[in-house]
Amino acid sequence: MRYFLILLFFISNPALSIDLETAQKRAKSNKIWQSEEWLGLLFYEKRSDGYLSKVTSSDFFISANGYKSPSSEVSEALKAIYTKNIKLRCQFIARTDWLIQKLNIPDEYHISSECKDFNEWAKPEKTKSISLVFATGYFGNPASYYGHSLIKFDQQTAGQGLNDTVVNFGAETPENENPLIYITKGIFGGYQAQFTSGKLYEHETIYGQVELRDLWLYQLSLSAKKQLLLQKHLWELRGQSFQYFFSSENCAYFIARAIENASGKTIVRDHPSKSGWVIPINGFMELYEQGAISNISYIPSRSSQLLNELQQLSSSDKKTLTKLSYSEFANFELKILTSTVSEKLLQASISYATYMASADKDNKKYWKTVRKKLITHRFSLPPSGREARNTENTNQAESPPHLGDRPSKIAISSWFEDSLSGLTLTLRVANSDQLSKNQGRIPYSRLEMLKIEMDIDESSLDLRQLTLVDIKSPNISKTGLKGDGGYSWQLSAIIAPYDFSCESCLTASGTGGFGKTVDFGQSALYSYLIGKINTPYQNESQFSAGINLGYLSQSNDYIHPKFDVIYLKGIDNKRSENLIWKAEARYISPQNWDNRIKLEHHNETRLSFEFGYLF
Amino acid sequence: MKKIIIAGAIAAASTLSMQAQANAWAECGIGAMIFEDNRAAAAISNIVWDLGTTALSSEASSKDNCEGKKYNTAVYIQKAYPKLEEETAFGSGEYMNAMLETAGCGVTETQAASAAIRQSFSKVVASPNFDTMSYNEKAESYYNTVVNSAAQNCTNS
Repeated sequence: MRYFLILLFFISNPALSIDLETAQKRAKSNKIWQSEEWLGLLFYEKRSDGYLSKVTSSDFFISANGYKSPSSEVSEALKAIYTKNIKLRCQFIARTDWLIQKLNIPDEYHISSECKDFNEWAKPEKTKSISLVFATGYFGNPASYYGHSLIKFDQQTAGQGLNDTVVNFGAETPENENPLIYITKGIFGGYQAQFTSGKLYEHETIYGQVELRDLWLYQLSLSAKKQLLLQKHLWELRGQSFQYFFSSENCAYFIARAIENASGKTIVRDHPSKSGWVIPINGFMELYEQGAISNISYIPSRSSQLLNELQQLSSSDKKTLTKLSYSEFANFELKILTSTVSEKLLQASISYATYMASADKDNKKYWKTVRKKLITHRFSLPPSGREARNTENTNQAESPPHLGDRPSKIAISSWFEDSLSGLTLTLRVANSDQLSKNQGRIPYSRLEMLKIEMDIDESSLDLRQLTLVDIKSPNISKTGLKGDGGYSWQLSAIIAPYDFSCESCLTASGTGGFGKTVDFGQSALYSYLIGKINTPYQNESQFSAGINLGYLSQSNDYIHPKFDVIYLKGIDNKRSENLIWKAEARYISPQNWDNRIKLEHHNETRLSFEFGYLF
Repeated sequence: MKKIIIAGAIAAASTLSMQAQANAWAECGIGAMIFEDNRAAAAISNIVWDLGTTALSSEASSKDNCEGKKYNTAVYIQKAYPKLEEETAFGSGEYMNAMLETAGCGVTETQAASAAIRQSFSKVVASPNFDTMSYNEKAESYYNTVVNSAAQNCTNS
């Protein structure tokens, strides 16, 4: 009877009876290598002639054919499990542990707890959660306006997690690469990129302290099992190479794919085929909408911290600092040092000097000296025990970036001109214009790339406008202190009819300008001196200069209006003049709708009603 | 003879490792690791998009014999010195807490270690040559202060 029960136990519990051969057979009969999870963990994509992994480094695979054969990788991984090859097991801990679980492989082969390096790196027992981190667009460089994403293990380290492990994805580029080669190779897949790991403080010092970018931490809602699988997956991915494409298979794509592979969620998997474009903020929006975010927190940049400190100053301290910032530079630190000032004012003064040393390029040396004197002075006073970092920046914390607009847009508009009327179809790949919501982007800015507008009237389909790039960078002052903010600038490259009145008159033009934007809190006034160059059209000038004046308001919760006047005069022999004006208002909808009314004039007046959807 | 050579090699490796631990700043070339003003480097790495090359370089700079608490503390200080300097002037802060954790100080030891660092480093700041010291010299001096203060106040440093 006893022997019968033991036999029954082994028969009824296949986990204890399975050997390598059985496991291989079971894997084969179940076609386990065709499962979404296996294909995801090894980044396989289906092609007409089979499979190919997106990982380009050969050491990511146990099998020599692993890069193109999911089944041979399963087979070799099973051998590594059954031979108890601790090196391979620990190096490929995600795929081998996944197979062990799926095939009910006996407990004696569960040896991942012996993977010392993995456990030291991932600290699974200390990792309470995993966060997807969004670094907001970079003020100093429009190319980084889209932001960046990282993965952080929330390991509860000191200093609000500054020592937490962070996984990054970045392209490998040679030092001092020519910018044109940089752009070309980036767009057309000329670079390899890697997953790397570091600590949060390394990123915070660059993003937060140097580039003045806020970090938003979106805590993922994952089961303990999926969280551990994500850590193991990222461990396997460290140092592995992928082909990099700026617009589609970029940092946002691969970071999100890693989360998808371990969690089973769909974030960006279909995006490249859908729109050809993957933008970091989309992943955060997708996760939030799926209810996959359990908490959102925020690490303010140096400039946001300064703004917060200013808001906490008494009105007299704020006046003092504002006055000092506008007085002679040479007197700034002397006035602080020779009078008794509050702790908060001294802190704000140091933050201001530090911020200026980063932001005021022309007077960097001076502000470093000011900062040095203020800090030396602070050393001479008793310690305050005050936490230098202050995260209670409520203004910003109430506006997480996922509440902003989605970057891609499709729209249809109905337009009317004198006796003509028709429809315009619009597709914008990315990213935002001046009437977009402000969350997660630079307020009042514009960054449109690849926007096409087609006019449809009774008899024809015509290109109304092809925008390759259109940027307006306002560079406004956030604090009102001297030196915060600077010149605004704009740059655009557009193909469009010369004006509204002509037919078959497409011209290509490039416009650049610089000016000033004044922020009134919820509205802004701006002016630019501009220069324009365009391809020939009849007797019109090819080289023009002029001015762009504009105003936009976001004070109303539902309607955001904008007005623009552009005057251009030819600076070549033809001396032609152009007056263009635009009035536009957007109805702000909580959903992904972008509906507008526009009245525009350029030798002809056009009224249009636009119904747009953001995705 | 073979045993002697092996023993000698082990001893040499061990000595090198100990030296690296004893003076991680000098032995591991911490001062040459990154620029004082890394804004330019950061801007280059982001000239087209967020390439993340800054993170790549930080990992690539690690040598085999340069690891452990002191090395990690030295790297931390080299990268975050301005923030540490500011927080030390006030007496405490998040960057200091994280740095002391790297140095091996427990939560209960952080306050005493912070006070010791401030007391010691305030003398460096008050010295006449502080104004002429380079970023690296200040960071190295701060590192030495931290190592000494941690040794006195933290059991696992």
